[in-house]
Amino acid sequence: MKVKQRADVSERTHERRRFLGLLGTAGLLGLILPLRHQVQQPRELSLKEADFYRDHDLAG
Amino acid sequence: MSAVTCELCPRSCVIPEGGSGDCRIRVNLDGKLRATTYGRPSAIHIDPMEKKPLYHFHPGASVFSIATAGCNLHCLNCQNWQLSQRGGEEMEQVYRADPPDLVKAAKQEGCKAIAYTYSDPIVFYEYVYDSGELAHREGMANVFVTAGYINRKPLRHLCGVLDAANVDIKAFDDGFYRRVNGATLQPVLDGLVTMREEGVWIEVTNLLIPTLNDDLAMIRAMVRWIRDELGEGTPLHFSRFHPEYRMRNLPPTPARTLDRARKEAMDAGLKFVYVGNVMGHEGGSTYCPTDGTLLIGRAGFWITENNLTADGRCPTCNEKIPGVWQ
Repeated sequence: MKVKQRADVSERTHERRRFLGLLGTAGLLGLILPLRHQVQQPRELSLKEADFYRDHDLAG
Repeated sequence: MSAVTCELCPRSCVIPEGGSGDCRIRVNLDGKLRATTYGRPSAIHIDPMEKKPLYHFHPGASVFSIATAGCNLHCLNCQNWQLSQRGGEEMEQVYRADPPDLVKAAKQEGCKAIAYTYSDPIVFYEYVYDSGELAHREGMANVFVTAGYINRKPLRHLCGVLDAANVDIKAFDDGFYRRVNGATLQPVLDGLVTMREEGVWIEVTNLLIPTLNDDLAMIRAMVRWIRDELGEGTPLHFSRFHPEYRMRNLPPTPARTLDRARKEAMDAGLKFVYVGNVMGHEGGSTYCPTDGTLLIGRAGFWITENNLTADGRCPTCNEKIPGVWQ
């Protein structure tokens, strides 16, 4: 049986794969970068959300 | 590249450009000292005044309580270590609340005071001062809950906006402070005297940790110092330790240890000695030091009865009880 070599793949297939690879990378960066940005930004004051760290009944 | 020295607390951190002090949140930006958490609290809650604990200051009032990340102590038993032992950028939640926003929110919630608490508010000093000034203009009081590890000069300035403080004496032993808290005792005592001189209402908390600071001779020495330097009417709270953070190897303080400490303090002449973090303990209530009348009954942080007269006197013998009652 003949094994398909890299050289057998046409130039058009190469380009299609490169394009899909770039598209995937850009998609991942597009997801990750905004999330990182969001975590570091302070939020507007909201008592309902800020109501934490007080889950115990110790003085202080 | 110029380093700056932070003169706020006795650590006197020399901070290189781009670096931070021991507290994590006071940084050197372009040769200027900045507090990164100014207007950026990470904990906000409405608590009863009794939780601070302040038992002789507006009993039963709601207090708007805030904290930012950071602390200038590193107590092995910290109960708020997720907040205090982190820098602002490490917090999952940070809120935008500049002093006007904070004071507005506190007023809208009907709070009588703002408490700077949970971590040590010394490290977000500028935020406390600016918010405190605004709070006073709006008729609200400012409450400081602290370990008191601060230099005298900035403390004296801060006292201008403070009305009451609960200050921890972690132990009456410098070695304990160095081993357990990463600090020293004397600046805390100096700070307490400064607050008394400046007219801030003071209550003292001493958290008793089994085997580490529950020695009766040490407690006796501390109580005598409080009696002689702050006055016999200074409320003292003996709090129960709970295993937390890096000190999970010790058990909670037995009730009898707290009882013994309370008796020792009362025998030495302190008039108002309380037991904290123990639900339903008789040492959580206020009694008249002259005739033993129950003045304020408490269950946990909640007031069950208040028999004080409107001007803060015992209804039976008319003795004036020290505190800020209205």
